[in-house]
Amino acid sequence: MTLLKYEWRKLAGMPALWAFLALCVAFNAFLLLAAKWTCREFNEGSAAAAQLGQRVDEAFVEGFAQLPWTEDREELLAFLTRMDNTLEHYDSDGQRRMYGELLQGSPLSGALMDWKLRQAAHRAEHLARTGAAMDFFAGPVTLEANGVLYKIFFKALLTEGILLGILAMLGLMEHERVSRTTAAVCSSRVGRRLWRTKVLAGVTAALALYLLLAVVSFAACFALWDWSGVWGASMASQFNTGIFHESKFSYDTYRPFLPWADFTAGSYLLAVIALGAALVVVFTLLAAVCGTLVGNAYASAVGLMILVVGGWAIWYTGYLQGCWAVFMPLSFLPTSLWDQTLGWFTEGGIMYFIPWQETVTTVIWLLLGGGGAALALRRFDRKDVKV
Amino acid sequence: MLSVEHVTKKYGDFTALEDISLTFTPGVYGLLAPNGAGKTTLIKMLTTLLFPTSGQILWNGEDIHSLDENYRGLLGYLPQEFGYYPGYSPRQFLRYAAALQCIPRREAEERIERLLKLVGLEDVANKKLKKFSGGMLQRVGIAQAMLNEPELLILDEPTAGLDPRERVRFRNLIHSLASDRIVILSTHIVSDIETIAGQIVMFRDHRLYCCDSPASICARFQGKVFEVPAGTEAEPGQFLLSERQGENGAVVRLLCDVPPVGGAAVTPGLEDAFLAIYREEAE
Repeated sequence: MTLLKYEWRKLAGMPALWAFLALCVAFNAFLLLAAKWTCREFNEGSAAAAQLGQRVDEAFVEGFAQLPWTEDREELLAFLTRMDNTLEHYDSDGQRRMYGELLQGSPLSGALMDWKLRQAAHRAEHLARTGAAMDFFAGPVTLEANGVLYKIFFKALLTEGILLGILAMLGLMEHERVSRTTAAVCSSRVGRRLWRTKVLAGVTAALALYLLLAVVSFAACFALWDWSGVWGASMASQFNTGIFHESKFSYDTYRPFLPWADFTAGSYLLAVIALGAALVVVFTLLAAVCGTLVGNAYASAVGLMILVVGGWAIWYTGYLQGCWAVFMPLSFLPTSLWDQTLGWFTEGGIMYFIPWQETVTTVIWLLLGGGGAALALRRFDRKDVKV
Repeated sequence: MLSVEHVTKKYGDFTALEDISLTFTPGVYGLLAPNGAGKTTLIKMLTTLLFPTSGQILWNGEDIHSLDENYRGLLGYLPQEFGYYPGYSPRQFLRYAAALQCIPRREAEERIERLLKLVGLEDVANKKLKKFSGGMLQRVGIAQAMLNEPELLILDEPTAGLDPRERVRFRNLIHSLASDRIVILSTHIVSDIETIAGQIVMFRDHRLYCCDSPASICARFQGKVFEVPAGTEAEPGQFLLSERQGENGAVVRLLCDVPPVGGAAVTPGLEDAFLAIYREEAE
């Protein structure tokens, strides 16, 4: 614990880390202000839901009609009056047929997709029974607001968390070399084992920085967007439908948001933040592997970026070219998850090939990152120290 | 007892040290050799920073890499280039070094106070290291090397940056420490080890040249070192060692088997021996 505190202290003494953190806060503030156009409508919807409840039924419609006049209210009232449980019409067979045709060039991808869609059909049946699609959420602005929140704001936050984690880890790995203390440290009783403490310190610091950034950023977000009425809304609300844009292949523009668990807006946000934290740990561990093996922070950062960006580029090219045999396995990369923050914990269309793919992938990469770090440290224990 | 048994260290095709065998018992050992001869490579192997390509290093009969932390726990090491954290004070830095040596907090505090006094830094114990001179930093380095009361103390260029007064104090300190532990000093400054080293280890062509007392090494050149007036041309078979101011003006010291004309035989010192041994490399 004493050595862990010393490693944290070394991090606290890195001006670059704090400067980057300040830049992240400023950038997030800019993003929030740029997305402020959804605020008024969202807050009105949230206020209505806070007063009337989330489930759109006769009482809700009657209550809604009594609310003070707002822009587009008549149009919305008409929609609410004829709103039905859309998940009852979920076309599972049609989905399987469509993806089957699309993926026929890659039998394994097709088989996995077919299996996933069968599971999704069960979820759709369950959600239809619960009437989740009948939740109001924040009304028509829900889709755009969630798009801004998860596709832009949270993605920025996650990216910042990952970069902070990499910076912290490589900073710690580099610290002894820059201070010229490697020889003294490695010949001490603790010796090369200090690098294990560094990995632990780097991971915990990365988590702390990410959570700090998340708390500050979301606190600012909730100061602008009133979520008091939407915390309990189901994420499968039909107002949250059509978030996947696969129009390139001319299908499925209005696929429902089909989560693998009965997520409310609040629990989904917490789950997303938690998975983001796990992804931050994954990338921080990968930085630890590179830092330990390469022994130079700049070379490690470049090497890691080549791997990460390269993997993402191949995955995305596979998507654009419809090369599913390449795209499918690479969709299990952490960078592919990073790219798909909006669809986490959902059926996810062409982006995901198994249920809970983001969770499974993250667990796999946590194990790979942890195992890789352990192997790299073991190798470090047995090789000459470059002084 | 520390034993180096047939140790060779190679970096690719380059052999830094070849088939070195040495035994160290309590006392002061001076590693004396020109740059690139392998002194630092040997020190890095003794401090477990490098692994021998072949051969082994034993502490009381056990391989030092197998002993792992038990060996490093009894080792004190001052690297050639002593690194530090500029934002730390000497006290903070020594506390950190104590944590790295797994010394209990209370015991560490006592030792730190004692060592700060010993190296004359008690008045600046809470000042940031970034404000220290080279000599002061070196004293911090010496203190951190002695923090765990090592049985084996390895000092690479320990007097670099020290002023003459500090150098004398350091020599006295090493002398007092060497009675019950092994002290290995690597230095270019011949006078540093001439007075305190019981044994001098010299390398030549990346092999062990000798491990002997300074007197024995000097005795090898007894009757072969002469002083002649400056300006005297060295003849074939004569090797110019050094030049100094004598009582009657400048003189040069020559190494030769046959006494030169007008030359006065002098008692060879360790510096003469060093220059004589490495004369071919110098040429």
